[in-house]
Amino acid sequence: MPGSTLKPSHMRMPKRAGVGLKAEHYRTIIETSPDVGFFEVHAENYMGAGGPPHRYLSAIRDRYPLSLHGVGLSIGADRPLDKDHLSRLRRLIDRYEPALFSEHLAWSSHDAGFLNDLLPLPYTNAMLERVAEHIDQVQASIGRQMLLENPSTYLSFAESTWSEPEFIAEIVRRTGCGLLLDVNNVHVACTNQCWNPVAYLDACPLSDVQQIHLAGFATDADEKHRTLLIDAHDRPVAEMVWALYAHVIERTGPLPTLIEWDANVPSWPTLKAEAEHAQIVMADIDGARRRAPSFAGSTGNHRSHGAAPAQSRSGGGCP
Amino acid sequence: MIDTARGSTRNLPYPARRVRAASLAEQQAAFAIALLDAQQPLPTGLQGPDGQPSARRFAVYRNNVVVGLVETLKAAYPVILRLVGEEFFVAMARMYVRAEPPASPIMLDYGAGFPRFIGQFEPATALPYLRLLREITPYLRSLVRRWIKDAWDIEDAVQDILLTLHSIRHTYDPSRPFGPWLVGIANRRAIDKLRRRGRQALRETPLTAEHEATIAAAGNSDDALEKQHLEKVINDLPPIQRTAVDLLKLKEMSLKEASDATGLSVASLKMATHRALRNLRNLLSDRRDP
Repeated sequence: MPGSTLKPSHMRMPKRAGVGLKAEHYRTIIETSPDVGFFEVHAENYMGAGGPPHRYLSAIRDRYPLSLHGVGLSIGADRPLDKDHLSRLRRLIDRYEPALFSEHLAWSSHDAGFLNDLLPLPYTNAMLERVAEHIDQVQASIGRQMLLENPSTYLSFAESTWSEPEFIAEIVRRTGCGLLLDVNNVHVACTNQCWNPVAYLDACPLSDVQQIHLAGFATDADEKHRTLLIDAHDRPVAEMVWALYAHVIERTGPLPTLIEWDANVPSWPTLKAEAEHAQIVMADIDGARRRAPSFAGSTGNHRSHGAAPAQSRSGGGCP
Repeated sequence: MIDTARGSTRNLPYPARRVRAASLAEQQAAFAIALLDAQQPLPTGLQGPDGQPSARRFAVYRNNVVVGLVETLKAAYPVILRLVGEEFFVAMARMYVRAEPPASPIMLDYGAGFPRFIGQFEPATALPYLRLLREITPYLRSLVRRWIKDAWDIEDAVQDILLTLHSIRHTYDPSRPFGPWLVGIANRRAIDKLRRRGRQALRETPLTAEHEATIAAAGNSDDALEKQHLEKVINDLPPIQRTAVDLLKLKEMSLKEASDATGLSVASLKMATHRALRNLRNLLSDRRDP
């Protein structure tokens, strides 16, 4: 079992809030050395020939812990993993020694080419085998543990025989990979699929979560006027997502938490304020847990971080 | 504060019925084809929360893929975007995305075949000016390569030259040969790029502990103030002196280049620079010794 021999990947990652590194903020960060827990970059953005991105990333890596987030490995594709891409990834990891490396439970490559989106998978036994095989191969290739991120989805497959969180839990169990829990994706998927987000979170292997993602979503509707949330990463984190985040942190304690904001990128102070918000949620809950060690989701004396998740499950048009 | 509903899976997606599924390979092939071509039927076996197919939901994936790739092309070909306009570009880019989706997950490399595609794109061949720019691009690239080695910087410089050509196209005199005019502009832009690059490298590479300490010690905001003040003082100079300082000192043109660019004689540029520097010295020393 490769899981038992893998180096744990979270040794150098502080349990604090970090942000996605954007070219717009390179200079501000280098000139002002702001107090954030870590930065995260998309691996594929640093696989080009060189130029400014590598110079900036090296300077930032010298000062901050780094998390590397892949968007192109296509772990859920039927076809074998792209060996060239895997070696580019290995070289990048050797060069920057990120504290965490993560990829998605999704597919994006096909004979037609690279489809540049995170596409959904059927949750079947055959798919489980395929994904576990690919994760074993990735972890063997990079010589360390990877984290798997739960997807945001707009459709599901009629043939699925597993629930999404149980499918993920089984992959984690089989491969020894960690979990990157994207709380915004949980909210988006649960709203779009009419699932209960609290039940979803409670079915997740929370003790294997090593990082959290938070982001903003856009709201749309489908042809039957049912709410359709789009994982847009283009605005602040929603109240509902903060509430689900607090629900997770109450159970796990503080975790490295990333603010993802990839489109309509805001000014640096706005982005940093989102990270500070996450930091405050963690500190509050951690303080309450320390004061009352038996605290387990009952009404503590810490302040509430938003609407109770279970109450707003309804969404438009769920049966 | 939170109803945990621990262990309840009542709303989790256990499917109500089993369907004989296509193999995974077939399924993903159908998905990929339907993504890139809106005329194709929806892939089967995909459903909304009521178990029914939903074109609107599938369109989210389609839109993510196509819009994402069109945006990548926009970023890679700003000159073409500006020349043909948004609507024409997007129409052309959407067809290209369908004809040649990316072969690799590295989006930085996507779109190398786009100029060739435009060459075959019927409505675009009706734009002779666009064809001209497209045809000179490989030649410009070879010119730039004499000055610049880094592939990234070469492409930057080529785009820069194309933009320059577009913005000063009215200065071309059709009675004179096109080649030397083009080469002159291309070389100048390439050298500019090289200079800027040199200065950047000087500023950027030696990021050492001492540099950090200096920044942390709040020297930084003084620098910014200094720069702001300098800009203001330069702006207050008489126009000819301001032009001379801008071209010779800030843009680092030679006297000959500045003379070509402004139509001023070398002698008057020298005189203007001399006067400007004397004025600047006075203005800046006033501030230091109030």
